[in-house]
Amino acid sequence: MSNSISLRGSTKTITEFFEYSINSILYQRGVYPQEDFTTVRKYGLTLLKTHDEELKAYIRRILAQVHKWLVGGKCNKLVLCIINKDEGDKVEEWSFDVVQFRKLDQNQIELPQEVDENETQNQIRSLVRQITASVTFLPEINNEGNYTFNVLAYTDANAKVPLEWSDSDNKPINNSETVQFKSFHTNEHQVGAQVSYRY
Amino acid sequence: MRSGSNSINEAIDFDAIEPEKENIIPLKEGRSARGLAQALTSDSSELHNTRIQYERRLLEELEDMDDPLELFLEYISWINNAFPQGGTSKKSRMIEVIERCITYFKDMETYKNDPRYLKVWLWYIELYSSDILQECKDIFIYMFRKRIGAKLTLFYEEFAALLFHMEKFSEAYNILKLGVEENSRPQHRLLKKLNEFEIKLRELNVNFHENSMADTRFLLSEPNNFILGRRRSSFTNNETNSNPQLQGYQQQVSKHEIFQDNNMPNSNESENINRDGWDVLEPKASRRKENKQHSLLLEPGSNIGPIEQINDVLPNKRPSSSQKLAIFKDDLGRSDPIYKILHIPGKKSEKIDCNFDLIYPNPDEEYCIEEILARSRNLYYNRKPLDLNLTEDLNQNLQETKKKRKLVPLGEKAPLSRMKPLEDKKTTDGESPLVESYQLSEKSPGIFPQSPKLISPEHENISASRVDNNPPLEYKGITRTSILPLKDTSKESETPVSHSRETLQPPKSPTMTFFSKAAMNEVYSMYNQHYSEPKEPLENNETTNKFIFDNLTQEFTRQHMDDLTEIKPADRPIEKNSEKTPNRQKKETNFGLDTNNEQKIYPNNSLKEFMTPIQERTEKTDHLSPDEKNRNWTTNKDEISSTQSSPFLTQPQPGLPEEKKCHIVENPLDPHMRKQLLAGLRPPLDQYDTFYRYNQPLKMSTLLKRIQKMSKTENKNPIVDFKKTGDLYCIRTELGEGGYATVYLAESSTGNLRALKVEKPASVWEYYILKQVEERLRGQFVLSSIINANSLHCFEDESYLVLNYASQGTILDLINLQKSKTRGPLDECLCMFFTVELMKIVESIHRADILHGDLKPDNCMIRFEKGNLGPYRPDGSFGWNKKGIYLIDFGRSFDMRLLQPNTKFKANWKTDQQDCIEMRSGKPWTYEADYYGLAGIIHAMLFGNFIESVQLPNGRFKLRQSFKRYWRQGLWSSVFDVLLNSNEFGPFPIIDQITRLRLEIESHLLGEFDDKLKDVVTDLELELTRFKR
Repeated sequence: MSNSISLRGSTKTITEFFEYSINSILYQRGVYPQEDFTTVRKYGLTLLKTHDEELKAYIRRILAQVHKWLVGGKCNKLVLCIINKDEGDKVEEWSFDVVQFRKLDQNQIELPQEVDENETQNQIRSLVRQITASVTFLPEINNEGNYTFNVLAYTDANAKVPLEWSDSDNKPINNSETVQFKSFHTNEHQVGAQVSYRY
Repeated sequence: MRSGSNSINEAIDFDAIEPEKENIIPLKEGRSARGLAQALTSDSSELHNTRIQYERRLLEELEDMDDPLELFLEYISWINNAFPQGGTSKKSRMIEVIERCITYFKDMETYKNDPRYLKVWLWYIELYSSDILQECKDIFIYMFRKRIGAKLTLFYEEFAALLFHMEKFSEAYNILKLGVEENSRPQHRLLKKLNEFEIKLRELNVNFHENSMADTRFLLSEPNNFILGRRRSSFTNNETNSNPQLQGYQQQVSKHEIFQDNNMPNSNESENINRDGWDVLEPKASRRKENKQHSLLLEPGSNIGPIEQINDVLPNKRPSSSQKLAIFKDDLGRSDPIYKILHIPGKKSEKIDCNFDLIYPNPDEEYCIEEILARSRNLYYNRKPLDLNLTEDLNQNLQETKKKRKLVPLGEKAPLSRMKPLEDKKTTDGESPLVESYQLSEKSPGIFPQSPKLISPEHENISASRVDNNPPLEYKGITRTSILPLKDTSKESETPVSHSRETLQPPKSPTMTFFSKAAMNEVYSMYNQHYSEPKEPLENNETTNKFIFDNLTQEFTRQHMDDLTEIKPADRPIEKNSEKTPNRQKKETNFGLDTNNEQKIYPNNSLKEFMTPIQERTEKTDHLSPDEKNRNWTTNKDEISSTQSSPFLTQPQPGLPEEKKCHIVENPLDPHMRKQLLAGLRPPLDQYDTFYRYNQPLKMSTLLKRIQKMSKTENKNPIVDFKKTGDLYCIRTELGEGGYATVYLAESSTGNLRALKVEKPASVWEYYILKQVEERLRGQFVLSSIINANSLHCFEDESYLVLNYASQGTILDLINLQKSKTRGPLDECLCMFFTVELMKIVESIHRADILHGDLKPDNCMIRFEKGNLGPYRPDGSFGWNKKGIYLIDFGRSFDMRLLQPNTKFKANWKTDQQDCIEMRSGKPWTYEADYYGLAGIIHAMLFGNFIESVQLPNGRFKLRQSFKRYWRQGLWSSVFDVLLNSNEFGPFPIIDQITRLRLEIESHLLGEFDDKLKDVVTDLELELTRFKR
């Protein structure tokens, strides 16, 4: 019983993290205008969150589904793509790998030790910091409004997929570079992050 | 780096970049994370090599390339990657490369519309001008006029964006429209932009159509743009604005027909823009030169005190002070003496320092100097024809006096002091200077061979004939009595003494300007001097006593001269009193004494005995002269003006340390004391291997100086020939001039470069000290850090010290180089390195009982010999023994072994902030001088300016300036604490303390900087080789 509670807590943490990271990426990469964002305190950092109701609802809807998959252990990767509206090609790809420890093979004895809640928060904080700092090397996305984003979820084949989600194949970005960020752990999951960008 | 597939596979860990993330400038097009990670780990020598490769390619390949822009782009993108801190950082030197790139292509038609080239421009604007909008605009206008990017939409977009940002909406709009007119590519994007812009302007409620064409004139360069029409349109605009005030203004304008451009804020600059011929966009550095704060370079030798003890030169004549107060000189200005250059075919051209227009106002008229003087005072009314000979002679005379004045810094004091009254007279009375100078020169026949020109036979003839044949010119207010001494002396000069001198030697004072036989003889004589056997006195002191004899006389005459000069200050006032006879008599008695002495000494021919009599003798004269002097003092004290800074005046008693109670040497640079100390040496100086004494004067130094000045234009290199070693030195250039010595760069006959330190009067002291240092530190590491004296050639009048040549400049040069480069001081780790080196030297010379006495940045030459370096090691391994400094200039040094223990000194020269506190406050000092000097050098390196210290309430001293936040403050404050308050740290010398400090700094260098220091030194070495050229 305690297991399921911990699992729910963990997925909640992860979903929350997704929400904040998607918001800050959208802000930082200038996909939506600055005016649409307000600052909030989270993880001991000042982060930006959209107050555009439409966008908010859209993200909520995605994450609600992702949360369901996570609880069911069906989702192993979430990808945020930034797409150029004009040419329709992908410019940047932020991907978050989710590893659920319970799903690991038994022979992999890498049993996760108990992770403190605070420790998780610290790890998330440094990951978010890294994401913020990535502007130092990422190309400038000008012409705001010329870009949009797309969220892809990698799920197991047997996962239930609601109607509004459609199948897609994720094409790699040409001439890209990839940067790996830090990861964070909960008792149940490990989440890693990386960005690929056109260079 | 752009191969997509494999870079996806290996992700770069952000951890590699994160520590430096604040130092990475984001680029529009992004950065390769891989490249970043690489750049952040690569070390500076690698960067250096790559840069050199690019530079070489630019030099060699650029002209032959199909697409030269590519190379530039490659270079620029390399800089971008290699210096993530961004192109604005000085280290990246991006600005140089970009500026080279944009100027290289600016006139190439093929590249004007190359988007890559345009991007370089845009990037240049973004990087270096983004903070100054006006400058951005100027560059855009320049580009527009050069039609760079005229067919590219990007240009119009960027330009319009800038103007929009500057809130010049209509200008921005018109720029976009111009772009449309030009059919720039891609057109649809531009049209879209234009539409967006219109919408935006409408939103902002800007009326952009109304004054549509008004604001494009600022960049239109085509001839069909009628400026007047534009202006008219702007007038009408203003009228439609119907601002009553403005209208009134307009009326005024029409009334007075004065064009006022107050209501057009940028018409001024549009004037400039419309001018033709803005062809060159100056580099950023020169565009902004007015905004640059000029860093004050440190001046070398700012504390060259009047080291010459027998110097009468007024303090403000010293080169240092004249440098401080630079006086603007125009080559053709009226302040300069007017001269005439005579060209006689077949002869060298002659320069005559005289206003010929005054002497020959008309072809058939001529005036002599006196006549001109008289005319200028309206005293002249009868003109008598003079023969040319005389005027020429006068010119010559005048020139000679001038020359003598020029000689002052070199230290030919005797004639100078004698000239003084002459100068006074000339300026005040305006009476015949000729007479006066004759009289003076006759005062000391044979004693001052420096002024024998005046007593040369032909000269005498002229003067005699003038006196006899020519009745004195009629001047108003002149009395015959003033001429009488001339007659008198001309007779007197025919004494056997002067005659014998004359027959022995041709006129000596070198006068290069006059091409006469005498002058030629003079020059030849320099090369044909007969000299005594070039054998060591050691070998033949028993067999041939002739040599020693010579030595003796020489020693003697020198001594003799000094004696005379010593009495001289007292001599002068007497002259003023015009009691001439008793004075002369006094001198004669002096003479008599000396000759007696001389005779007494002659019989002695063993070396040992040779030394002692001199000591006795000087002692004797000292006994004599103070007496006399004291007497003079008491009588003449009031007459001596305080401006005469001769040390003898301030310190009438030449200090003999043995006589003082607390062993305080009042006059530590006194040549007598030195001579005395040197005389007591065992083995005597003359036995040193590389010591060569000549029994004749050379009289080369003044000549050198003048030829040196000439050779800058005429490319003549004088040659100094040292007969005793057979060495020929070809003087290349002057390296520096000190208070009493000049250093030349000389090339020896074997092709080695040497520094030749020419001192007048001859001085052996520095040579002695250097040899002692060499002797006492033999076999030690640190000896390589002290300049090596190859040999000393000591003539009667001047000495030539041959030193190794260090080509890399002084620490002062280095500091100034750094200042001009970055406007900052040296890198801290470099300061540490030099500090350690200096401390090593100071420790060891103090251990050897040598006091340098004049430590300052300009006395430390940089010694970066060739060789590879490893990480820093204080013990000299990994090639570090090849890097360091040379300590030079031991002219103010002391050998403490020659003095009694606990001897202290008192400075009698003018001190400045670089001298130690004790020296400045007139307290006795010893080793403090070196510690304070060391502190001064470190201070100059760290801060880039000269040391200034303040006294704390508890009596201790500290620096006025505070350390930078990021320096090792604890370390430096303890270093300066010890060096500034050296007297509190136990009995001198405080070698242990210095060693302690040095070890501390070394550990810092080892711990934190060992690799960085290596890079810094390697970079610097390259820089210095460039600097040398």
